[in-house]
Amino acid sequence: MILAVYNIKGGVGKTSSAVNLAYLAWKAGRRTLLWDLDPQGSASFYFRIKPRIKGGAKKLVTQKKRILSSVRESDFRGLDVVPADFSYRFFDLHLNGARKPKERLSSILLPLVDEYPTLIVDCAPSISLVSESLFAAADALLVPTIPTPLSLQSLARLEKHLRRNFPDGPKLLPFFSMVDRRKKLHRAICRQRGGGGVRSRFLETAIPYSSLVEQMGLARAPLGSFAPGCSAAQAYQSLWDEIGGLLTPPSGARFQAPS
Amino acid sequence: MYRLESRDDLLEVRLDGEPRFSHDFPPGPIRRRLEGSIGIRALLPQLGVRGLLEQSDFLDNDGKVVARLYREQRRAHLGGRDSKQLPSQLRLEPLRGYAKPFRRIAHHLESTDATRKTKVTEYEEAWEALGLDDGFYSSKINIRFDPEERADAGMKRLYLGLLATMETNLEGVKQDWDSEFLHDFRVAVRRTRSGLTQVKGVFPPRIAERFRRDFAWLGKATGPCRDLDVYLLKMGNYLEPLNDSKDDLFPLVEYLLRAKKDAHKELSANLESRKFQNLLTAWKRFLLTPVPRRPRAERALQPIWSESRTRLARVYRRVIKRGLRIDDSSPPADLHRVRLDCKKLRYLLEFFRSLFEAESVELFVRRLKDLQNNLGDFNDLQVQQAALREWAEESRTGRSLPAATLLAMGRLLDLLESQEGKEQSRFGRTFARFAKPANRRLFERLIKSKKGPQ
Repeated sequence: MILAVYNIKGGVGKTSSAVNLAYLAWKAGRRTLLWDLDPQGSASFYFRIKPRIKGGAKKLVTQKKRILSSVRESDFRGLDVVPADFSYRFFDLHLNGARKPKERLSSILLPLVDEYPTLIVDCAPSISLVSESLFAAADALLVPTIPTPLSLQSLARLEKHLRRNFPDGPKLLPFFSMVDRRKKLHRAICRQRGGGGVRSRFLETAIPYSSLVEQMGLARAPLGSFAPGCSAAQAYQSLWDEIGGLLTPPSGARFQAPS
Repeated sequence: MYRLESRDDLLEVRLDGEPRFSHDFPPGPIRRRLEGSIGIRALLPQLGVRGLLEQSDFLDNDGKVVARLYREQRRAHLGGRDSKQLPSQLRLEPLRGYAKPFRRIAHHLESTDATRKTKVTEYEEAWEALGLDDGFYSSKINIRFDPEERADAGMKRLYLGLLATMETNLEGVKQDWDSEFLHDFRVAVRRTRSGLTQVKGVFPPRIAERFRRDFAWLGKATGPCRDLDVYLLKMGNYLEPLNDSKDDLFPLVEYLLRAKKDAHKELSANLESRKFQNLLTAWKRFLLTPVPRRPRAERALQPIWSESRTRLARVYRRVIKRGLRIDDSSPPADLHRVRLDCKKLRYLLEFFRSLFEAESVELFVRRLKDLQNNLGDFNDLQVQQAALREWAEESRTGRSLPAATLLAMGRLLDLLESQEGKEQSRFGRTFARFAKPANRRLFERLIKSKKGPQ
């Protein structure tokens, strides 16, 4: 199962969602791989893994199975990471130079799908050849969305784009992120989930704004490992449960996550 | 998790139950190796190692774990309370993608004096720490005689070895761990009985007679259980020629398994009986008593070499004489008699092999084996047919077998009968090969080839 955490906009809680969901997938007993596809390397940073891969984006795109040698084991046995690399900023160029660029990410990920029942990709913001290629590869697109009218507008645009260009493409799963209960607007938008259009697609769970999520940068670890009881950690847990219920995961090899 | 650890590598397999035989493992490298090394024998727990595991992590500058070090404090035990400390074991576990720091740390650990890289398996370490013997077991007779040794003293030593084999296997027979405990136990009993019958006059007649009788009883008491073991082991051979109607024979397998259970119960009762206990203690006491300076038995003082030579020559002559009389019209009983004589000859050769030139013995035994295989197969086929008839007969009166099973047994009978015919016609050729002049000369040379004191 390939899950892409994606939003055209930056700063919406993409990376923290990817990191925490990867941790929860692992915690649930599935071998999990997180690919930090954002050249900023924040997801790698959270796992204390150096944002560097040998050969960079170019080798990854041009050499079959190259990705296998880039896998790093995190401190959680069974949860592995393909770290970011600064060269990812040229990923588009390398994809463009390759044959069938839109299918390329699928073939890059291919050597990993048997080993990892859950693959989570943390994408860079923007819409580009990389994201197009990812739409073709992913089973679901998790879209963290800040409850503002503009965000909803860009989400609607994404939905339209997917409907037109990827009719068999990934399931669109938006969820509210960084929700600040003190803000009237946030409360109002979250309430209007029903109705038609893109709003009806939102997942039940909303991730609250939490300073603990910011502290992940200090702890350099997933929320569940250092503050499992906090509201944000619990929100991620119910988000993961909800996603799990919507996507019937293939019966992959289960293993016992060490406590 | 089950591990097969050798000095060179380590194989692992996950199993639900506790495995006993090689076929309890899924097809794969572990099973293949076990089949090659233990055959039909069972795996039994020998010792245990309990460990206390401490984990430490090696971190890089970012605080990322790059390797894990496990230190295990271990104690070996034999199931009871006593345990022995084993050296602590360090195990360095690499993390995927961190080969370089792993190599560096490993190199560092290896170069300190406090650690020692080991190729010894944990099992070997524990075995040694517990002070266990080398664990070597063989049912083969391994006794060295001085040619001038008194016959009674020599025979006592031989019987003591056989008694030790019986004692070693006794628990496995009672628990029915696998079929070979009973097999080895029975062979030791039969060898003892054969020795007592053949090497006469070295012990007081009354004593020899008493033990001969008792071991005959023991041989008989262990017979039914072994017979059923053999049938069950041979079931694969029975099933194969039946092709499509294999399933028809399964009720027979179940029938035999039930019969085996009953037979084993009876055998266990016999092995727990006062009679058996008395036999073992009395026999042991007799064997451990030093030989009298002036023995009553007439041949007690004979040197073991001349005694063995006489006996060997006598049985060998009998084999030749009886074998030559056999032709195609001979009744099976005649072949049966030759088979028993061959067996006696073989036992004597095994008893006394250390007295003669090893090469001649080996060569002669090889030729004798050919003949024995032929006669053994012939006998097995006869016994199996008789057994099949008996089971069919029993099924009419007692626990009944389905008609399809009886029909399959009928087909099997036909098959065995034709095989029996083949074995019988083969005898002429096999025996001629055994009795040819060159082979007779080999035997003559053999019994004259006295070896000096060891």
